[in-house]
Amino acid sequence: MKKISSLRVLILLTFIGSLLAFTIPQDEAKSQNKIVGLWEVGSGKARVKIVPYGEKFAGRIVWLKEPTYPDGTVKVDKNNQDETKRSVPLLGYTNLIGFVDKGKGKYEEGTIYDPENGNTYNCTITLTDDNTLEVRGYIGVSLFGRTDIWKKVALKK
Amino acid sequence: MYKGIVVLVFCLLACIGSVQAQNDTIKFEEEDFSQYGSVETIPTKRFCSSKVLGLSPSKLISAGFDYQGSSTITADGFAGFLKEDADINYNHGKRFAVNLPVISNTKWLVSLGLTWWDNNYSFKNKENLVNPFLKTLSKNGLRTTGLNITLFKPLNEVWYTLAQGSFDFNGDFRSNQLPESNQLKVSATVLVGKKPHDRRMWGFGISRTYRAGEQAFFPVLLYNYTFKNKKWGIEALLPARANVRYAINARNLIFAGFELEGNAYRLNNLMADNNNLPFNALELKRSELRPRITYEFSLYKFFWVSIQVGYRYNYSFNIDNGDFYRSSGNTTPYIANNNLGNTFYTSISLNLVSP
Repeated sequence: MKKISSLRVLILLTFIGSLLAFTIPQDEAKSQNKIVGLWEVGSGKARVKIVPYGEKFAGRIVWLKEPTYPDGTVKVDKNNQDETKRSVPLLGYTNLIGFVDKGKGKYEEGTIYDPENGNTYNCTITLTDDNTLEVRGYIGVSLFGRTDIWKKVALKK
Repeated sequence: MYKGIVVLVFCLLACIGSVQAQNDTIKFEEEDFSQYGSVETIPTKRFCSSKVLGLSPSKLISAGFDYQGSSTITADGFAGFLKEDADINYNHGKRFAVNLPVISNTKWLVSLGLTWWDNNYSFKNKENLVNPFLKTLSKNGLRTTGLNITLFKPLNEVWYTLAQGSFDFNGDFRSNQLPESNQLKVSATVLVGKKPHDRRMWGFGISRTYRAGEQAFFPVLLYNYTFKNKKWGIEALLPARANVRYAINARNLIFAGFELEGNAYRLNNLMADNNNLPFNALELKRSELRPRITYEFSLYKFFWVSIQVGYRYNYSFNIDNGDFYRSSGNTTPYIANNNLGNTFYTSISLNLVSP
C-alpha cells in the first residue's frame, strides 16, 4: 500500500475545508453585509447610506427630499441638544452608528439619531429581505419603541 | 393600589437606562451628494403610517395629578332622602396611563394600554352630609381603571382603518378595593380614514362611548393636520377632543382646545351602605367639558412635562338606575338630577414619550 505523505493530507484537508467554507450558508453566521448600501426611509423624505467600519456599521444621510428651508438656506441639525451642533448640515449627517452584525440579518448595539426631535435612541436593524430593513428605535427596552421600514434603492446608471 | 402603580412606574423608569453614547468616530469618504437624487427603487407596496409630521409625541407612560377648584353641588332627593346643597373645597385625583405599542410594523400597529384615574371630593362640612350620594363622594370618591387596545391597519399608502376598545371599571370603589364586574364599561370606536400626504390625515367612523355620561353612539371625526410652516397644527378626535397646536420648537408645544370627559360609575359602595334602597344598579352619569390651554415640553430627552389649565364645565352629574341606551324619545326620568357647579382646574403630568 502506497504511503500518503503528510503534505498531501494537509493539501487535501485544506481543499475540503475551503469547499466547506464556500458551501455553508453565510446567513447562518453573518449577514454577508447585505445591510451595506443605499436605503430610503419609510416616509421617503431621506436616503441613508450604510457603510462598514471595522467590525461595525454606520449610516449617514446622503439625500433629503427637501434639503433647504423655505428661505433657501441649507437644512441644519437645529434640534440637537448640543447647541454647538445646531449649525451642522443635515446632509452628510451620521445618524446610524455602532451596529454589530449578530447574524441572521440582525444588527444590534447601535443607535439612531432623529433630527426631528434631536434625540438619540437605541436601535436594532433587521434585514427582513434583501431589499427591506426594519429599523426599530427604542428607549431602554425594545417595547418602548417605534419601527420604520426602509427600502433599498440603487443609483441609476 | 395607586401606590403600587407608582412603584411599578418608577421600576419601569429605572429599567429604562439612558441610551449608550457611541464614541466611535467614522471618516466617510468625500462624495458628491447630488448623485443620490437619481435612484432606481425596487417596486414594493408601501403603507401609510399612523402619524402626521409635527404631531405631538405619543405618551408611553404618563403619571399626573388633576386639581379642580371649589364649587357647589346640589344633590337631588331620592328614595326618601331630601335634596341637599353642599360646598366642595376642591377635588383632586391621580392619573396614570401606560400605552405600549406591542406590534409595530408597516402592516399593523397594535397598542395596549392601562389606565388608573381617581377623583376625590373634599367637602366643607363632610361630617354633616346626609344625602347618600354626597356621602359616597366624600368617603369613597370615584375611580376608573381598565385596559384598552388600539389597532391601526394601513390598507395602502393612503387609506387606513383604526379600531379602539376600552374595558374600564368605573365606580365608587376605594383605592384599596377591587372593582366589581358590574362596574365594567366597554367603549369602542371604529373608523376609516385617508392620509393624502405627510401633514394631513382624516378619518370618519362611529363610537360607542360614555363621554356624555351615559351610553351613547356618536359619529367620530379624526383630523390631524400640520400647516406648511410646520409651526401650527390641528389635532382633533371629535367629539372627544380638539386642539390647535403651536410648536415653539420641536421640544416646546402649546395647545388650545377642549376635551369632553365623562363616564358612567356604578355606585356599589353607596348601595352597600344603604341596603334599603329600592335600586340595585345606581350609576352616576358624569360628563364635563374642559376648555383648556396646555403647555408640553421636553424636560430631559424623552421625558416630557404637560401642564394644563382650564375650566371644568359640568354637563351631567345625574344618577340613573342601570346602564342603558337612552334614545331621543326615551323620557324615563333620572333617579336624581344633581347640579354640580363649574370651576377652574389644573393638571400636571410627567410623561415618557415614544420615539
